[in-house]
Amino acid sequence: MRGLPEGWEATTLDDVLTIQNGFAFKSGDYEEEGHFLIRIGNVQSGAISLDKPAFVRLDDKTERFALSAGDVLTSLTGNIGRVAKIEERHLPAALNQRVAKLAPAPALEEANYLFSFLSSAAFGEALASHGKGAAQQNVSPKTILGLDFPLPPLAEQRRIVEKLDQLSARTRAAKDHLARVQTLATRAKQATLATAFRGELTEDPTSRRPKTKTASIADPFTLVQEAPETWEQYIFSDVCRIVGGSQPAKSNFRYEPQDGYIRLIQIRDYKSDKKVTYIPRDLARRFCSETDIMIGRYGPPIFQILRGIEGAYNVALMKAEPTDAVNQEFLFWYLHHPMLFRYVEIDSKRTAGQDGVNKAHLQRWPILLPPLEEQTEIVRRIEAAFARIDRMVEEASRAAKLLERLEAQLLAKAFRGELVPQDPNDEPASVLLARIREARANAPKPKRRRKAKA
Amino acid sequence: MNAVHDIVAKLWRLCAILRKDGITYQQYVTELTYLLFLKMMQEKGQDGEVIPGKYRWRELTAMEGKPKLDHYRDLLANIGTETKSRTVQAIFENANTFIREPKNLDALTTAIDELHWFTDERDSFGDLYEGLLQKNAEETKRGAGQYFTPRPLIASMTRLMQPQPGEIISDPAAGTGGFLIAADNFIRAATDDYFELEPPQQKFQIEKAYQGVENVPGVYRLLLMNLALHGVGTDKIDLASTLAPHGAGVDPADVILANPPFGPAGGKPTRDDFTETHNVSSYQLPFVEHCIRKLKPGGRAAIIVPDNVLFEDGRGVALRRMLMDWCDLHTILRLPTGIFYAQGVKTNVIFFTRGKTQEGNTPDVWVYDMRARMPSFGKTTPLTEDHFKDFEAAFGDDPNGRAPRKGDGEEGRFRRFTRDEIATRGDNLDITWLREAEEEAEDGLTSPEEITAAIIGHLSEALREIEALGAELSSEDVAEVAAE
Repeated sequence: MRGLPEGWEATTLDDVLTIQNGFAFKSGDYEEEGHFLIRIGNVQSGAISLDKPAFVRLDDKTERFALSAGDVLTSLTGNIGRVAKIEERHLPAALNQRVAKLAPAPALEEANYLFSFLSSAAFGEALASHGKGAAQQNVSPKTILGLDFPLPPLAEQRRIVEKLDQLSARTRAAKDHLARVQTLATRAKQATLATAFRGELTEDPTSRRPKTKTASIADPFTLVQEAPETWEQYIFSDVCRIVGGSQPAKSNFRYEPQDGYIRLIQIRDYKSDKKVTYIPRDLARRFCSETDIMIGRYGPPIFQILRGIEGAYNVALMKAEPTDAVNQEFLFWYLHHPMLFRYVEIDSKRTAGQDGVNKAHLQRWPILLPPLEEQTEIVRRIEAAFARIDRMVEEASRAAKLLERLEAQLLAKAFRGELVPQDPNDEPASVLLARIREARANAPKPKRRRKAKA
Repeated sequence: MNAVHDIVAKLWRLCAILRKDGITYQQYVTELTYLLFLKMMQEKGQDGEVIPGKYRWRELTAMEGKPKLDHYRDLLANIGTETKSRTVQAIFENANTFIREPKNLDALTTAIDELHWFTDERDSFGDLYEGLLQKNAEETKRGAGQYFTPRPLIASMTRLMQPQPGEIISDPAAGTGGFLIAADNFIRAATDDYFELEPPQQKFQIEKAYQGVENVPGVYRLLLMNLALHGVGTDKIDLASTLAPHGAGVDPADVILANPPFGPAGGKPTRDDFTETHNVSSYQLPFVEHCIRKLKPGGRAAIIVPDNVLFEDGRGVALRRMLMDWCDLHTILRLPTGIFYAQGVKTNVIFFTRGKTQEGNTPDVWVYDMRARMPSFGKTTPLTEDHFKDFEAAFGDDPNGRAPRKGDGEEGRFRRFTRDEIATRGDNLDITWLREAEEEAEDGLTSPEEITAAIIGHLSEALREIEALGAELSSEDVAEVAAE
């Protein structure tokens, strides 16, 4: 360890804790009830998970593997470096093999500093670097005991823990808030669209227009849309032509660009650039360009609204071509209408054997359209609103990253003795260490069990 | 009283005109403060003592046009140096005017000159003033003080605390005086405007009953003026910080009502009498310790605190234990979200009475959850006094919270928790049981503006916490982190 502050001691974990490896309970011995068996899968980072329950009954031989509230566990195999504490509600519980209980020396008195260290990257990363094994990482109790552990004076340990508690309360709070941002951002976008297609986005809130135009559907659910007087009602096919895709037999597909071939655009092309597909130009029938509006016919999720990619498009896609009544960009946003999505989705689910978007059903959708000028204005406002929301999500994302780095920095500082000031009046760690060693020397020796060779 | 309505209407119109020139509500209300103060001094016949001759109201109103505006500017710049009165100095500290057109100054002074100070016309002025402060809060999402406390909440807390004549009533984070004014109104209503009190008691009410501390000069002058307009007389309103040595020296109070600031304080308390929070560099925990210490034994308090006061580990636990030992923490009210002008802030009111000893004074805590399953408050659903009716009925009519009460069980809003039950939770007082998470109240928001405001609220809160964390690092560390 680099220069530790005054009063600190450079020790190894062996000096301050003992390890108990779990018992090799056989799956044939599992029962319906009894002690919850903590296996490596149950030890997550910072928490015990009660998934995939298995129970065992303990007897004389295995009762020492019973766990208590407050016991600190770590996995020795798999994702090593995960550390969690047992709580009241996990009990009764027992320790399985390849999970180790880390028991602080009683003379240490303040185990929370040690626990903070074990929960931190300082421990996790040190452990991971020692992991051996090809298929699965493995680490031995001996390796753990040999890891460096910077030991501060007892009084300073308490100050550090107190400080870390305060800080972790803030971190938790910040994380909760940032998580909400993403959820709310999606809803804000939905709300913006709903408002837009009622004509309220382009209105002055203090003088709203009466919504005298209505369009209703009764099937598959009851829905009434409203809009101002100046908007016109159509059915979808009046304002938008839906043109399906086409593709030749798969034997014509190539995966490298070549003369006389053009790209065949499929839904997968919107997810990744791997396996770009080409077909002969003269077998291509339906074309699209970057400005076109495309609809994903099949899912999941169905009815994705996409922009075109230069090339020919296949049967999984449909092109939406506006008529003169509707502005291209307005149509693009309109297709994101939450109500329209529900309408299309419900139909696609209920018809047995029917796959994907039902074109005839879509074409019957009643649409209330604003005058062209208002359409342009609505597009402008939606884009501005979405840009604003995206900026906030971006900010939350940056904040989350910053938060992670801050957390890591603060912990690192803690274990270097830079988080709280030293107090020269503290009893030095060397004295604490001596006490621990003495207590161990005087303790009755546990019977050493020979590990049965596997 | 049509005359005063005309004056008030004029002043609102003038406000609208000035706003078009970019003047904010806070600037406008500050401007009114200077003028009202000079007028008030004249009406009270006090300006002979504290205001230099040339700067008196009479002199100002005798002028007009550009010379008047020049004179006014000169007055604002120099009046503080030519008087020994600390009140005058405080009102005019760093004063300057936002008025550019002489005719606007003329309009303001003419309107204000028509006010008859010692009539109930002044109440209408008080309403105007409060109205401007409210608008300022809506606009800035904060208000002049840290967080402008919604008036229905102030009214409810005051009713439950039942301030009495003869009691010392204190607000250590006075802001613009909402609680002090509410307490005085309560007492006036109960005593027929002090008429039923004996002269020595009246004197007490006018001179000694109310105590306040505010540490932001721009807010302090609004506080003084707001109190003056509402007839709250007292000279115990200090421009100081409660977390500095001044706070250690204030007299203990019978009643404390407050909405202390939240967030990083930029340093630890500098007073030396704190034992639990002396090392804490946020506002809210030390303020709670102040309130505990500065209550007389038997005194009572109602304070608004953010959630972290109830759940924070470390110093938070120590503080809560002190609170439950020294005082009877009889009631916690979980407030709905969206009631402060900034979304995303989660707050509570804690009600407690100081014991005669320093141990074991809290046998149990009653928690009222007004947060889960509530409409989401905001512009479309404003908070009103009606929303507090059920809580007030459940609280009971003992201001010390010990009227006989009935819990509502697990599906109700009002439940009792014994001290032992709280101890098994690690002394965490952030207690909820109604299954619906608060997020669902936000889920009720439908307008894009309200949802966006909620997002901004969450981002701000997150950034506050991150900023506080960053404050723990030295500047080199921060540079390192930022560079990654």
